[in-house]
Parts: sequence; C-alpha cells; structure tokens
Amino acid sequence: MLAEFSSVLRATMLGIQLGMTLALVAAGLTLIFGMLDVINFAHGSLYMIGGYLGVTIASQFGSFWLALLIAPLAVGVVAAAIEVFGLRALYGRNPLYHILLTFGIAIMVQGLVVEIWGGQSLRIEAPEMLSGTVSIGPVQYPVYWLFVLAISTVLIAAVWLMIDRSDLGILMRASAHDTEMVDALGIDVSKVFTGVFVFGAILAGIAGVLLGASRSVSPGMGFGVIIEAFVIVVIGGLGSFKGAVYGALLVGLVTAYGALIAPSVTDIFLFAMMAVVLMVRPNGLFGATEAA
Amino acid sequence: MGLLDAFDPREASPTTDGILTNRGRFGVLALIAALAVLGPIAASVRPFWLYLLVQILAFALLALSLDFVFGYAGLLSFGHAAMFGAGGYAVALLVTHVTPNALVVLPAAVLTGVVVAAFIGWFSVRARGIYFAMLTLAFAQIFYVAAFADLPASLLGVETVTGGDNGLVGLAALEAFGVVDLSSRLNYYFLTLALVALSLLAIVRIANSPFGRVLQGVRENEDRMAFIGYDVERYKVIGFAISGGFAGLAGGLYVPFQSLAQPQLLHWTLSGELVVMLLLGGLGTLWGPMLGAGVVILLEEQLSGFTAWEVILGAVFVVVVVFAPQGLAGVLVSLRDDPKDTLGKVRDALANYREKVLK
Amino acid sequence: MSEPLLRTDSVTKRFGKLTAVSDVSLSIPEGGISSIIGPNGAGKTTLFNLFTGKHAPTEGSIEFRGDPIDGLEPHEVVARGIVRSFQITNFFAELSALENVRLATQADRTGFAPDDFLAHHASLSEATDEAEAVLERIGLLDVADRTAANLAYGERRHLEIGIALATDPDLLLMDEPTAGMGPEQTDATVSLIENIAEDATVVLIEHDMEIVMNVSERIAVMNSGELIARGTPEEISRNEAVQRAYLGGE
Repeated sequence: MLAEFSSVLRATMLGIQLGMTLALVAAGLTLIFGMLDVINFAHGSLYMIGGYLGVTIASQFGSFWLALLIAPLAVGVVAAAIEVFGLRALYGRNPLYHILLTFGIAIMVQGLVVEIWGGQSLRIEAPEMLSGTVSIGPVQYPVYWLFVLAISTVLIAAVWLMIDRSDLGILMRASAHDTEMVDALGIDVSKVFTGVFVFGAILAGIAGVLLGASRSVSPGMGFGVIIEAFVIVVIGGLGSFKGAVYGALLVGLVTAYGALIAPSVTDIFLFAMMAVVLMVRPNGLFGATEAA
Repeated sequence: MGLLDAFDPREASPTTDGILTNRGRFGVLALIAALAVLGPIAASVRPFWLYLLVQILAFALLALSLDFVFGYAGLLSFGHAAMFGAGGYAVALLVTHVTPNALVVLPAAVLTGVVVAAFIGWFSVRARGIYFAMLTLAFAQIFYVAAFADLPASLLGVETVTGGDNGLVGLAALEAFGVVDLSSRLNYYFLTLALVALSLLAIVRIANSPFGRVLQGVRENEDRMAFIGYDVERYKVIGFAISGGFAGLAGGLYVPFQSLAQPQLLHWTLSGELVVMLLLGGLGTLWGPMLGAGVVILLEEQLSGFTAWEVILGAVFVVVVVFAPQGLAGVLVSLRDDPKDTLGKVRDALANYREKVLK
Repeated sequence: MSEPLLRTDSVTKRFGKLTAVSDVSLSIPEGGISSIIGPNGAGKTTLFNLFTGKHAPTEGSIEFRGDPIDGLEPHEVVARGIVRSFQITNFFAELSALENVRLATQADRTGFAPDDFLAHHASLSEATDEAEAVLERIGLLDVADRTAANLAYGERRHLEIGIALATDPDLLLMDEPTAGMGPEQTDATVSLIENIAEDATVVLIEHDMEIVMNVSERIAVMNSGELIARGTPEEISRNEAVQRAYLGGE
C-alpha cells in the first residue's frame, strides 16, 4: 500500500515537472502560432539544437550554467535566421506552406545533428550542487528534477505575467489580432514577428538544455517532442498560452501515470485524450470558439 | 466506355488543367509504356533498379491517394501512413496465416485501407484545417503504437500478431492461383505498374465525376457547400475512405515486395515525407505528386551514400517551398507553355524573395 | 392567408452572455417580399443563421410549412427549400461563374450511387442547362467561363445571389444583396429581386430604406435582438418605436 502510494506520488511529481518543462516548448509553439499563424514544425528541432549545444558547451567549458545561458541564445540566432530567410518570404500565402517549410527545415536539422554530433545519445552533466536526492515523504526525489521544476515554473510564470501585463504583451496580442492596426501605430510588425519567433525558440532552447541533463540528447528528440508539443497545443487550443500550460501539465501527468499503468502504450493515452478533447471541443480547451 | 475516356479532353476547369488535356493523357500513356519497357531492361542490366522502380510505383500510388483528398478536397491528412501501413500489415498477416493469393490479399489491402480511413475520417472531419491534420496524425500514431507494442497480441492473449518492433519478416511471395509466379521480380513489377496505372485512371475518373466536383467545391468553400444542400461531412468521410483504399493498396503492394511489414510503415514521419512528395511534385495535379514520389525516392537513393543526405533533401524541399510553390508540375507546365518566360519567372521569384526578406 | 410559410415561436439565441436574438415570434406568409430591418447588431443575420441551421436556437422553435426545422443541419434545411445568400460574398473563388452555379444546380442530382462516382460530371447536362439559365437570369451568361475571383464587384454580388437561386428555393433569404453597390447596380439588383419574388418567397435584410419601402409587402423591425415592430411599409413608417430606434439609436 505504502509502495503504491509512493509510486503514485513520485509519478505525480514527475508529471508536473515534465509538464512544466514541456510547457516551455509548447508556449513557444502556441505564441508563434497566435502571432504569426505559423505551425512551426521546426520547433522541436530548435529544442534539439538547444540540447546539443548544451552538451557541447557543458563539456567544453565544464559548466552547466554557461550551457544554460549560451545555448538558448544560440538557438535564438538560428531561429532568427529561419524567420527572416525562410518564413518571411511566405507570409500572406496559404499557412500550409509554413508547415511544409518548417518541416523541411526540421529534416535538415535532423541530418545536420547526426552529421555533427553522431547518432548516439548524449547527456549533459548536471552540476555537482544539484546532484543527489531529497526525501519528500516516502519518495527519494532527485534534486536536479526539483531544480528543473522550479526554473520552468518561474519562467512560465514570468512569460504569463509578461503577456498579461506588459506593454510588450499587449503589443503582441494586438498584432496577433490586427497587424494593420499595429502597422498604423508605426510599429514594425515584421520586427515583432521576428522577436516572437526568437523568443519562442529561446524558451524551447532552455527546455532542451534542462531536459538534456535529465532525459538525454539524441537525434530523435526533435521529432519526438514536436509531437508531444502538438498534442499539448491542440488540446489547449492553438494560440492560447493558458491552454498550452494546462495542456502541458495534462500531458506530463498522463505520461507519468501512463508509465505506471502500461509503459509501452503511453502514447495511445495521449492521442486518445487529444482525440476526445477535439471531438468535444473542436478548437481545443481554450481555443477561440466561433462567435456569431 | 473506353479507357481513354477518363482523361477527358473536354476538361476545362482551371484547377484541373494540365494532365487531363489531350497532350497530358498521351504523356501519361507514353510514360506507362516507357516504364513497361524499362522493366525488362532493368531486370537484365541491374536487378536493383527493379527494386527501386517498385518502391517508386508504390509511393507514387500513395502520393496519388493523398493528393486526391488533399489536392481535391483540401483535407490535409497527416495520417496517410496509417492506411498505407494497415494495408501492408493486412497483406502480411494474410500471407502468413491464410493465403499468398494476390487476388485475395490485394483486395483485402484495399478494404483495410477503406475501413481504417473511414474510421479515422469519421472522427476527424468535424475538425478543420490544422486541427484536422493533427487529429489524423494522432489516430495514425495510435495505429503505430499499437503495432509497435503489439497491442493486438495482448488484447487477444496470443504470443504475437504484429511482431512488435521487428515487424513481420520473411513473408512468402504472392501468387495468383499458381498461374502467375509473382516471386519473379519482373512479374511483380508488371503487376504493380498495371495496378498503379489503373488506380490513376480510376482516381482521375472519380475526380471528374459529379462526386469529384463536390469535393472540389468543399475545398474551395465548405461552408457554402453546406448552404446549397450538400452534406459536407459525409462527402469528406467518403472521399477520405476512397483515398484510404488506394493508400491501402499501395501498402499492400509495397510489403510483399519488401517481404517485411514493420511499424515504421505507420509512423507519422512517413506521412510527413508523403506531404513533402506532394508539394515537391505539385499539389492538386495528381500526376505531380506521383512524380514527386519518384524524385524523393531517387534522391534518397542517390544521396544515401552521403551521411548528410537529409540535409540536402530538406534543403531541396525548402527551396521548392519558397521559390516554386507549384512544385515540379508547375515548373514543367511553365517550361512547356513558354520556355523563355520561365527564366523570367525565376528572376521574378528571386526579386520577390529579396524584397520580402529585406523589407 | 392560411398557414404561414415560416414561423418562429419565441426564438432566443444566446452566445455566452450575449443575447443576439431575444424572444422573436414572427410569421412569414408564402409569396412576395418581406424585409427585416434594424440597426447594425440588431440580430438580423443571427436570425438568418437560425433559419438556415448554422446555429440552433437556445430557446423557442422554428417551423417551415408546419414542420419544426430548428436543430437541422444546414444541408437538411436546404433540402426543405430554404436557401440563403450572404452579406459578404461567399462563393467558390477559383472556379468559373458557371461552375459556381452548377455546384448548386447539381446538388439535388448528386448522391452516392455508383454513377455519381464514375460518370463524367458533364453527363449531368440538365444541371449545366439550368446553371446557364440562372446565369442568364442574373445577367452573367457573358462571363460564364470567367473565374469568380476575377469578376467585377457587382457581378460577384449577383453570382452570390445566383448560387442561392440555383438551388431552386421556395424561400430565399437574402442578406443585404445591394450592400456596397452604386445606384445603377442597385436598380438592376432590385429588379432581379422582384423577378425572383415572382416564383419564390423572398426575405430581405436591407439597410437601404428606399428599397425596403418600395419592394416589401411586410416589414419586421429588430433592435437589440428584439422584434420591435411589424407591419406594412405604411404602418412601419408611422411607427414611433421604429423612429426612436432609428433616430435615437444612431
């Protein structure tokens, strides 16, 4: 009985931690969609680049913290290049082309990663001070995972506040609804677009480094996480930040509990959940519902 | 009704112009004839080419099936691998447990594709656009996981059904009542070529039917279709199921030739690659995506020597999306209509790109 | 007149907290032109959406020829003989004018029999003939082969009506057919509406009061989701509540 309770508790904590980190990936995806109307298939690749750069920086300089700082910024630079040289040429066309373009980029990144880092899975060395475990009730829980949970939660809360309160957030929401109006205010919408794309990518890059030290870094991680992120934002409602956060927690918990019940078919729970949500609410939990 | 009537020269719709003209149907016939001649040559010079050709034909059929719903009805399916793989697994299971008779297993592959597509379609058509794409992807992944984890075996309480991540290997060759020996690669190639040609004919025919016109209307404006009296969801499900039948056939042709059915056939990355083939070839033209399938498979084959072949493939794809959204079909049509103007169009596209990027 | 063609009984439609249509009871007899007027946001288009199955009413019922139609799907409503045109042109942009109309004339000839999948679409020659007749009626036969997106504004508006007309409706609901038109085009459109009303019942949503007063036999006035008046043009022009809504409201 006690053993069961502790494994459920452990799964719950794991699920919340995984959910908050996935929220970092999904938040970028949903913000980019909300603003640019772009389904970014390369978002998982940006996350993966974050992980791999994290590996390299951490092993070169022996500092996890440096990796956590530099790798996401480098991901931002890659993202800027993708937005400026790729997506910008496609705005105004059928949004389908965005999917196809970013899918092409994802294939390229996949190939590049294998070319540079090889096919085997790597790991970022977590810092000494975050090693070891702590006891939470009956559960021995790794300190590093608590750290991941804390930092993800802080970041998500900060982004939430920013979108909700700051001028920048208001500007972002305004350009999502009416780019012409923002244009008329004398603000360069294309810079806002680039900014949001880069910002979303940096969040994904941070998640890549964080999870690179708890899961592992491998060439399949980009395509793996993008499916999880899609499930999250579709459940939450495309373009909704709140939806992405709740969706991520849901997916994190289902993944963690699913691993307790039937580890080999956890994904089926996720997809079935998404299918059910969409059948009941075709635009997701927090998606814009059709008004009059 | 002659075979050629399907490629109707009366065709005048701007969206279906191209292959369906007189010139186009002769082009297709010439290509089929050329492929028929190429088979025996390949068999005697380099048997490996036959292997490639069958692979190309199977994927051309799969691309054709997707273009029928995507290009015609505007339904972006990111789950066509489900029907492809289901058709393939159906054949593999029948060959292993029941019979290798092609006249039994291939119709079964079609039927499996129809049933799987009707199931996925029925649940998905209420959602639109990107949500539809994601739902089809989700359902297809359920099939993938089910095959990978061999869920049917756990449910039935037997040792193995799908063979898990190894798949079903060492399948016996197909035959047809002992009359035709389909273990001969050349014979199998001819069978595949004939079925792909017939499928193209059938799909062109359906595209030109009253039903096909309705699908076109649905793509253009599904709301309005409902307000002039069409049961749009029903049309979409049926269109999706028809497409699934052809996708199932493609899987059913692919698997026996490989002598292997593996979960990878059901994975979403295959669906994604398929969408790449469509766009590269030219969406909505039917022949373009078939061409795109051929080009992608040849590229993969040629580039597989390089470790970074995915980089090149992805780059080719990115360039096509940005500079030639009409795909290879668009480029070819433009070359045919006005070769000189094509160079001008390239210049325009570059100038347009520079303006948009640097604005 | 015995039984009304269309009757609503205390129909209410709410979207969340917003009540778009509130307790509307009205009946439309067969034949002629009726109009629904009212300021922007009065709930007129929502009422059309309720009639045509786009939305189901939150409360109340809608009957057509005595049968309830609320809760039916749009295509089922069309099968009963109720068709609408749209305020914002809503056609098949990439198809030719003829094909736009033909999709509508083809609708009740297409089902799921083998021939619907295997015959050539041109074999439905009656649908083509009818489509051409409709194009002639709306004055677009000359541009039958032109892509809808390339038509002039007035032509598009007529095509919009033509698509609805081509389904051969008993009741045609027209949402601001003259919106954005110059005087000449407006006259042509008004004659078209009168011509259509000779063999179908027409309900108009219209802002141009001159048109409304000239062509309508009956007028219903809405304001803030409620039906505030109904009657003949003379009665409506003398109605104080209407004058308040129009003069005071804007």
